[in-house]
Amino acid sequence: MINSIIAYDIAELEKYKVLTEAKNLYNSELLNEEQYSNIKTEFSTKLYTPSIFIKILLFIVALVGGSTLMGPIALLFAGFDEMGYRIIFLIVGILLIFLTDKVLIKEKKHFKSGVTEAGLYTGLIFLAIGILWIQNNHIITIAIVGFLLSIMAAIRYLNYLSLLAAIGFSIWIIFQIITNLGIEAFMPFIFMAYAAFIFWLTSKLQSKFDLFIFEDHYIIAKSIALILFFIAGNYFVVRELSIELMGLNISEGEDIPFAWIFYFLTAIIPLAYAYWGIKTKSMLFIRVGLLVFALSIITFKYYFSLGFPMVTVTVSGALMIIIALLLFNYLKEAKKGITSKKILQDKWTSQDLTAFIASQTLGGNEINVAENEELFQGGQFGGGGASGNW
Amino acid sequence: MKNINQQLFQKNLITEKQFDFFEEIRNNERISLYFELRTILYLGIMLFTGGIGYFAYQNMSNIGHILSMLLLTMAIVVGFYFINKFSKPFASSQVIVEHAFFDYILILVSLLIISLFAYIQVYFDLVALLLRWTSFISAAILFFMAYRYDNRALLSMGITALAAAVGISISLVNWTNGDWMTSNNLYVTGIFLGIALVIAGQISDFKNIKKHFKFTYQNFGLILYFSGGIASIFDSQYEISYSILIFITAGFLTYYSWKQKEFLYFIYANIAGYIALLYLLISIIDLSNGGYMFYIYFIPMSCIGYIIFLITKKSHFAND
Repeated sequence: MINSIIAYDIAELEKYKVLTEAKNLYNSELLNEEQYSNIKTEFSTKLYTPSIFIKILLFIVALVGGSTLMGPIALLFAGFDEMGYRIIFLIVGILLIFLTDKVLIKEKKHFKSGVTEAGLYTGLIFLAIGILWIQNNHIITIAIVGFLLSIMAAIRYLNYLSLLAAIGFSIWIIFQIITNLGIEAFMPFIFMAYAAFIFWLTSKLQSKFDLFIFEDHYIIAKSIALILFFIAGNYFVVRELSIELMGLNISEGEDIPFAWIFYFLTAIIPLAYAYWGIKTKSMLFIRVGLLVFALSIITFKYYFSLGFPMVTVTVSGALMIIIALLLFNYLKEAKKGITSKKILQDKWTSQDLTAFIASQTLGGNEINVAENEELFQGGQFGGGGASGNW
Repeated sequence: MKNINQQLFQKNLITEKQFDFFEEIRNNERISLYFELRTILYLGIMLFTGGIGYFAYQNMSNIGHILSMLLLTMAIVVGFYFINKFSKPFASSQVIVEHAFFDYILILVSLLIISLFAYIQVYFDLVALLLRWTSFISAAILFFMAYRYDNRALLSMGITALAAAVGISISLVNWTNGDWMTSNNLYVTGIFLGIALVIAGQISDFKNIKKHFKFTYQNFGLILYFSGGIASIFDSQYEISYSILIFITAGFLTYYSWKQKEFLYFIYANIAGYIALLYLLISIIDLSNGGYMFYIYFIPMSCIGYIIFLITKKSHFAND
């Protein structure tokens, strides 16, 4: 059954997966040259994935080509009425997806080649335009159509962005329902329940279909669920949305109703994630925990600032450096299986990329403007200044 | 398929010892916080040096200022003690230090030196005097550290500092709110600096001095060259000459990077070349008087045609 749902040939995907894993192990010096080349011959796949830069180029060019395609087609059918154009959009959208599916994926064996993504996205957008057109829609229809299209693409084409979009659309649908029913006051709890539901559903699916092809989908869905759970209970979000949606007037010194619940949640959720992550050695919880921990600190700093943001920045920077160095040292010898030594090479780290990011974030790129009178108040700093806006 | 390790083991492609080890990793019995700790360290360095740099220009009491300078000096001395303990002697080939965070400490110390320099400038009232030279000095410090300790991140920062010294902000992250290359002169500066960086990369390769720095030089060089060129197509009075220049050089680079399989440069060349080509076409076939009709057909057709061409050459970009 699963074979007809997925556009790709699963046996080939399996080989591809083994190859990528083996490549990672080889790069991490856990496989020797001979083993790696044996695996490469044993699992050679017909799937075609170009190198990352060509993928990007193919994606950009195909996206420009695909999205401007409607120009000449519309000219051919000039004089059509609204319904006519809608049908043309539908036909072109279906054609683009059909082409991607039957020709690129089935025949040419493209797998995440950039063209497949561009074909899929332009096709889906044309389809959505055809279905929804521009006006006369209840806003919830847009969300429902978007959700259905993106969840189908996420499953059939194993597309991560579509999965993200699907979750986003589902959140939007729930948001619309809540505002229509006028139960904004319960929104934080409804979304926390929804996040818990996504996590539960993903875990269920994962144990039911323990399929390697959806491995990354499960990770993405679970991460989003954990982040959503935090955001739904985050004090800043709740407060700002209460003001925005319920017209709550909060003067200085006053607080939203049940503020203590949200303070508590904002503080406890990151710690709970991190604790659970370390206890079960789950990288997912550790990573998300670190992320929401930072968000939590920013939230508290926003409301309980001492008025010296730059002092906070400097001190927290110094603390982070010290904590990281201490932990590096402490975990040199693995403690309960947790180590600070590199085990596997990360797929995304390359020295050249790190270098580029450093040049963009660690300063050195700011101009000392000679004409600028206010140079000394602006904190502009030609050498080691941070270029981020804090 | 459930377990890759099992499969590899059954086919005798990995040893039992490897199998056990890989299983431990797969079952989360063995996890590494290497990347997470490095990320925290990196963010810490970013926040700390940013904050320290900011305070140099704030009104501080004399004592505060001197105290900061003393603390910075101490931190730098400790940092150098650490660096000397782990570093290897200079060599013109790549020097690899096997250490979890040696490279980040290098970056931290270099940035602290630059901050200390800023404090000294402010304290001794040298700001006005050295205004034009600050970025050059920062660049010099960064270049020295990059070559001595073999670090590409410092080299990148040195190059951006150098560009800042001549008035160009290479900040792709922030490009929307920076008026980068505001006057005509700066396009030319950008183009020439770009060419100089590409040549510097070529020299590193030929003379075998830190060969692996070539990419960093040339990547920045090409970004500067093409963005300078494209900015001048849109802004200067000599747009036709610039379009021709960019189109021709992009053509050469397309050919060269195709042969060398340098696909990042291939993207740069393609995009810049296509923009220049469109500009040249527009100067021939005007958008008015129905000329736009041509482009309604030309843009999708040329893109789709190019995609078909690239797909047929797919064996050339096999990912290995």
